Formats: sequence, C-alpha cells, structure tokens
Amino acid sequence: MSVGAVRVPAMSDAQIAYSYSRASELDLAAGLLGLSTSGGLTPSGLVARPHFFSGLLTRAAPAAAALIGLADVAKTRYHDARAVTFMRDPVVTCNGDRLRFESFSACGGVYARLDVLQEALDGDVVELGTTNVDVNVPLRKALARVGGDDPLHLAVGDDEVVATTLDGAVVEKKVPLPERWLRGFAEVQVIASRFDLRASLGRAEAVKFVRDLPRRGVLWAVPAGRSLRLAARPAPGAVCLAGPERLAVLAPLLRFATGLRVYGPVVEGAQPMASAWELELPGMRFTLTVSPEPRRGFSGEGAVLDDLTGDTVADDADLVGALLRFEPRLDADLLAEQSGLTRARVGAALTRLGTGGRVGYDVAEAAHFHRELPYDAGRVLAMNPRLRSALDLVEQGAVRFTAPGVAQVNGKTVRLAGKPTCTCPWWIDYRGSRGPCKHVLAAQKVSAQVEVPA
Amino acid sequence: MNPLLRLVASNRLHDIPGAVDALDAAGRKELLAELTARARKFSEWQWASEHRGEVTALRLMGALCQGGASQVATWLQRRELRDPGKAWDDARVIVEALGDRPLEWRADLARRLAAGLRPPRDGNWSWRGRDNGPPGYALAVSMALNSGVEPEGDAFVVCWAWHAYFTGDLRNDPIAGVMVPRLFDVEAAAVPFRQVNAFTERFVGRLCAEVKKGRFDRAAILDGTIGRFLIGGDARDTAVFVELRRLLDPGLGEMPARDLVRCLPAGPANVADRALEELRALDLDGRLDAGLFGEAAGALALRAEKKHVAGALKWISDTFEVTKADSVRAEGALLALADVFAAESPTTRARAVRLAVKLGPCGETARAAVADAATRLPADERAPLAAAFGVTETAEEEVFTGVPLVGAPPLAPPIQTTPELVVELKDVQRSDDRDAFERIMAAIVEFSHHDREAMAADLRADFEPTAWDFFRQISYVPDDAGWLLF
Repeated sequence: MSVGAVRVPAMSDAQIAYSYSRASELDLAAGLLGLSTSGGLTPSGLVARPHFFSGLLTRAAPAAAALIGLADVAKTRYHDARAVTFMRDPVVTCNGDRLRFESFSACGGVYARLDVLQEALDGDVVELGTTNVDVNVPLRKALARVGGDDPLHLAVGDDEVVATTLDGAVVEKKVPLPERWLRGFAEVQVIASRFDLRASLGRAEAVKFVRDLPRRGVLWAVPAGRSLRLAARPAPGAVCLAGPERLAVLAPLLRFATGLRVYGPVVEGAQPMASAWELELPGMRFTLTVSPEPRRGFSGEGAVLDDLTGDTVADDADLVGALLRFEPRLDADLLAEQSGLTRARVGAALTRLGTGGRVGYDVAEAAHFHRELPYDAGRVLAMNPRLRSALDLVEQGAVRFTAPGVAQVNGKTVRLAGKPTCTCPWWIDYRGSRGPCKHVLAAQKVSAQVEVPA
Repeated sequence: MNPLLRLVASNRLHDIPGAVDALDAAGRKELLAELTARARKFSEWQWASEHRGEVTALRLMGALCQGGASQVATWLQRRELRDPGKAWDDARVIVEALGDRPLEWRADLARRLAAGLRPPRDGNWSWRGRDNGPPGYALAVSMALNSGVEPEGDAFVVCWAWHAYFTGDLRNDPIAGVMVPRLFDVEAAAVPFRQVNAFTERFVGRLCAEVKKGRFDRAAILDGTIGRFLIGGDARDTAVFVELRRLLDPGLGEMPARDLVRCLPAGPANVADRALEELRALDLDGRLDAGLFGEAAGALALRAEKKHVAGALKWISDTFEVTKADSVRAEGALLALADVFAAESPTTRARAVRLAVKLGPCGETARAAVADAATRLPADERAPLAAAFGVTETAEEEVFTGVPLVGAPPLAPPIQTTPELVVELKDVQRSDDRDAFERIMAAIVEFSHHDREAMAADLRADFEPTAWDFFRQISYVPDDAGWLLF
C-alpha cells in the first residue's frame, strides 16, 4: 500500500484532523467494545485504519475505568478551570504482548498511560503499530456503566469486513495541535527515563494515601514505614508532588488497585520536580506522570536540548530507529550489538528517538518501548524555539571564545567547564533546572564544531 | 474614497444591496479592498468607539461583495467585525440580504458560521448586551433557521447555553427542542451555570416548567441527567443537572439503580450525594439488588469526602437487619467496612469496627479482607475483631521515622561574576527574596575583597544615577545606599 493512498491524520501547525470509519462503540448488552482507529504506522508502513487486536478483555471494569481516566486527562487543563470543548484522542500502541493507551493533558502538564498486559488479554494480535483511537461522549458514558467481573470482547481497529465495506471516513474530528503540546508529549518520555523507583505501597496504603491527599500545594512524598508521608520540604529519597489535585484521576481506580508505585528523579535542591505515579490494576498498569508545577508543562523543560545539539546523535538515532519493530521492551545491549554502536551512544540515540515521539519509556520496566506517535513530532522538535535561537546565534557569529571553556555570546558570558553556566537573566532565574539556555547551546555547538576537526 | 463607502458611514443599510448589485466583479473586488482597509481600522480603540455604528453596514457590504460561502463566513467572523452592537438586528439585515442566494449556499454558510463560533470562557462578552448572545451567535442561529440546517459542534451548544442563561426564555426559543438534549452531552455547556444564582435558578425552573407542559420528554431529560452524571467532571459543572433532577423529583420507577451506583466512584460530590439519596430510596423500597448495594457501599467507602464514608456507614447501620440476613449484602458491606478501617478519624474507624463485629464473618473473601485491614488498626481497635475474623497476625511494627529537623532551604550557588551580580541586583528590586539579598551581599563582599575598583566601575556603568534613584524609591533596598560603598 502506498503511503499517499492511505488516510492518515492530517496535521498542520494549528490542528490535526482525525478520520475514523465509524465512532468507537460499547454495546453493553452484547459485551462488545469496538475502538476505531485513525491512520497510523505499522511495520508494513502507514495504514489508514490499522487493526491491532481482537479478543477478550478479561478484566473489563478496571480497563473501562482506566480508559475514562485517560479521557479525563486528555480533556483537562489542570491550571485553568475553563472547560475544554475538544479532546485530543488517546494514542494506542500494540506491542504484541500488550496494548498501551496514552494521553496527554490539554495543559501539557500530565501524561497518562494505561498498559493492558497479557494477563488481561485473551485474543489475537492482528498487527503491531501505533495510532489514535476515537473516544466520544456516548462511549464514555457506556464505559462508566461497565461493572462486575464479566469480560468484554475488545476490537482495536476495524476488522476486515468493516474496512472493505465502508468507503472513506464517516467520523472526522479537527482539534488544535499546538507545537508546545506536541513537544511536551515527546519530552515527557525523556524526563521519565531519569526516574527511579522510590516507593511501593500495598493496596490499603495506596487507598489511604490517594484518598487523603490535600488538593493544593507543592508537597514532597517521603517514604515512611509502609506508606508515604507528605512533607513541605524535600528529603533524600523523596518524590515531589506538585498540584496533588492532578492525582484525583486515580481515585475512581482505587477500588481495583492492588498497589501504588512511585517514581522520581534524584532530589537536587528545593526546586519542584516531575514524578510518576503508577497504580497497579489487575493485569494492567495506569501511570500518571506529572510536571514540576501545575502551571508548567513538560515542553519547556529543555531536557532534550543536550541531545539535539550533538552531531553524531542524529545519525545514531537513524541507525537505531531502523532496527525498531514495535518491541514492548527495548534491550539497549542488543541494539548496541545490532547497530555496532557503543552502549552510551545507543542510550543517547534512544533519547533522541524519544524526543521525536518514536519511543516511549516505561518506568515500571525501566526500559524504552517502540511506538511512533501519529503526529509529526520530529518536525516540531526541529523547530524548538530555544534551539532555533541558539542556531541563529551561531549563524550570526555571536559566539566568541575568550579563554578555554569561556565564551562571550551576545554580551553574555558562558562557562562550559563542568556544569555550564551563563550570565543571562534566564539562566540566573532557572539555573539549569529547565535545561541549557540559548547562549550555552550556541557555545556548545561552536565548541563541538571546533573540537571535531581537531 | 469609493462613493459606496458613504453608505457605510451614513449607515444606509437599505441602500447597500442595490448599490452592490450594480457593481461588476472588478468593482466589487475594488470595493472589498477598501472595506477591508476600513475594517482594519477597527482594531484601534479610538476608531472603533467612534464608528461602532458602522459595523453592520460594513459586514453587510462585505458579505454582498463576495461569492463563496467560505469567504462570506470569513468576512463575517473577522475579529474586528464579529460583535455588532445590535446583534439580532444585524443578523436580520444580513440574512434578508443574502436571502436570494441558493438554499444550499445558505446552508453551507450556516454550517460555517456555527463551526466558526468561539465559545466564551466567561460572561464578559455580555457587558455590551446580554440579549445579543456571544459574538457571532445571533447570525449563526438566524442563518441556521433561515436555511433549515441543524447547527453542529460543541461551540454552538455552549453559545446557546450562554444565551439561554441570560434570557431564560425557553418557551420562545425555536431551537430549544434541539439544544436541550445536547446540553447533557457537551461538558463546556455547563460553564454558564457554574454559579448558582438567579439566572441559573430561572433557567432550571423554566426547563422544568417546559418538561411539565410536555414540550420535552421527561424520561429523556432524566436520562440526560444520569448520562451527565456518568461523564463526571467538576462539581460546579454538574450542579445545574443535580438541581434539575432534584426539581423533577423522579419516582422510584425513574431511578436507574445500576447507573446510579456507577456514578458513585468517579462522580463529583454533589452527584454522589444525589445518587446516594436515590439509591437509599430504592433500597428502602426493596428495589436495590444485593450486589449493587455492596458495590455502592464499597464505592462510598473509597471516596475522599468524609461525609460519603459516613454515609456508607449510616446506610449499613440503618439497614443492618436486612444486610445481616442477606449473605451477598453482608459480604459487600464487610468489604466496604474493611476499606473504612484506613480512615483518619478514630470515631469513624471505631464505628466501622463495631458494625463489622455485629455483622460477623460472612464469606471467605470478606473475612480475609477484614482480617487483613484489621492488621493495620491500633491494637485496641483491632481486639474486638480478632476472635470473629481470625486476626491472628499483627502488623509488623512500623519503623519509627523521625520528622527531620527543619532547616533553612539550601541557597542557590554563589554569584561568580559581576554581570551576574548586576542581573541579580536588578531582579531583587522586584522581589522580597531574603536569600537573594544574602547572596548579593556575599558577592559584593567577595568582589570587593578581590578587586573593589573593577566591581565599582562595572556597577557604576550598569546603574545610571537616575535609574538607581528610581530603584531606590520603589524597592526594598534600604534608603541609605551607603552600604554599597560606592
């Protein structure tokens, strides 16, 4: 099938158009859940409406509640009470032994993922790949009505009969797609890859912790006994929880929970940090990754910029990207062996692929997984405003090295030795907590260009 | 200046269609360019306030100059022109003037106007005229009625809701029959009704009146409220639907037990209140399935609000005899009580323990859940459960974790260069960050020690005397600037 012949989500700078052959439906009487797919990528290339899975969803109630949670995240602006009149549809990835559903909040500060594992699936994987699934209001109402222990028949994507009888799309949705949102969706994977497991709570402790959370503020969850204690200041091993109201989406899932696992980076200073909260459900995992502040999305974190400036990383990423086959867990050693690169270069390449939306990161397994976001994330990434400004500075010849490791960039002094610093107001405000400033990036770029020929 | 623009300036609306008709294609193109230039002037506040009366004439003339529905919609939705002073008069004039275009063309325009509406985030638009409706709404609805098109899109529903909120007139609203059912499916349509005030009460009261008159199907409206409860969301957004359901006062036959139970885990507090009330009424009448009773009690026990946890306990307590006699109900109640053992309040925990002891073990799953939850209770609260539920093992003693001593938060790294010091000095004018003052003082001492003259020269260059006087007036910097030593 040629790429030009298929209908894939059309993306412009301002919006994306989803195209489905029919609306996703849940027939409660018949126990059938049909999730419609839009255009997406499979190992055989772009497919208009890929068909990933047909079979039984053995634990229907928790899966239904978790899908509602994903939809709730997708339609919410956590720092802004005004209602959102659109929703960006969740992304589904079939990795063979599991289905992953991802959504990203309208404010760009909360990332949610539901991993439906093999234990909760009993059926046939038709194809691997990634695409969007339609979530509409009637479906949400029907999902809320699911209860009891009865399984559901699940179909992700149209089966062949539907695909051949329906000509063209019957459900089309256009929603805004800001670059900032898209960058955040991609960057959250890179940020999460720096998280480690900090605490693991049993069901009773998880219920008590989530149920009793305060609604506002920046808190630090410190492991204490079998649970977590909330503190106002960081401590070694603590996990930052900024805007605890953002975890409210976990509350309706508590009735199915078997535990809660908490992930975060190493605490440095007193600045708020991102964290991930994984609710264990029967045969599935629901993970929420929250940004360092409710008003701060993931797109401005700048975690990816270091990797974007390197000269060899792009080539390495292309090489590693060609080896990916929608694996549920990417083995860096195996990739290093297959690509002939060092382990460190494979790691950098995976980070770069993550920023392009081509791999995600699973904190539970501490491993990347292959998925191709059905957006042109790579193009957006190339237009990262800070990186673009840095490249402009390089082109203008604004970088002048006055001593080894010390440069004057547009009147600002950049020191590259150790942890880079700059004298610009932006760097002084954030002190590297949101990645390097444009002056540091420009100096690093020039420095690399000078050093490589030598 | 094109002579036709005088018609705009003098607001001669009736003469505009004829004048535009008399133009050929080139003339219309030329006129449109001048109209566009004039419309751009409306972005200036002064011009806009002096020429506000021209907006309808400008919209009309521009619309008549163009052939495509898409172009006309774009013109009418221009930022400068989309909010005429008298929106309904403006809509009447434009619809009338475009009345000779083909029906399909008008239908296309109606769809585009509805799709191009921007749902307002609050009622600020209403200062110019509440009856107008949100910008663009009057023309969109007039064109839809003229062409017989049913407007699509959530934005239209939100705009209709704002209009209905301010006018409160459902009886004479020609599209209320179509829009009311859609009100339940569009979450943002609840935004106007977030504040419970006279407008909201009037709307709900009139909607109930129309339901009683039979204009709206009562069963469909009641079903709509349940559907809205299942969607969930913010309590402020569901308040109007809760109130509507309360006023409609559904009978027992109109209460869907299963759906009400499914509203409990994720619904906002006001929805859970309403659902609990109706479920208790059903239970009292013996219409609630034992399994659903357990599911409801369990969902209430896991809610964050203490009143709902207390509500679950009260429900179990009030129906104790029935619950104890039915093993399915008793098992559901015990599972819910086990979750309440983790409550903060000792009184709530004690009440849950008492109920569990009175119910006794019923079913292995429930017994095991109670026994497991009991291990986390303090010994004295756990004791009554020990014999009946086989709580043999006590929880491992929790490791004492002392609260760390409160210390000052770590300071940011010291200032290393004079340019940094300059930036920090400028920043500190607008902050009350004591730590920043400490760091600046430390840097000044440090730099003075190494090369006082160089530092003073740098600072002098950056802080012109006038600017420094200004900073001194508005800042927290002490009035006596002698501490800077220069």
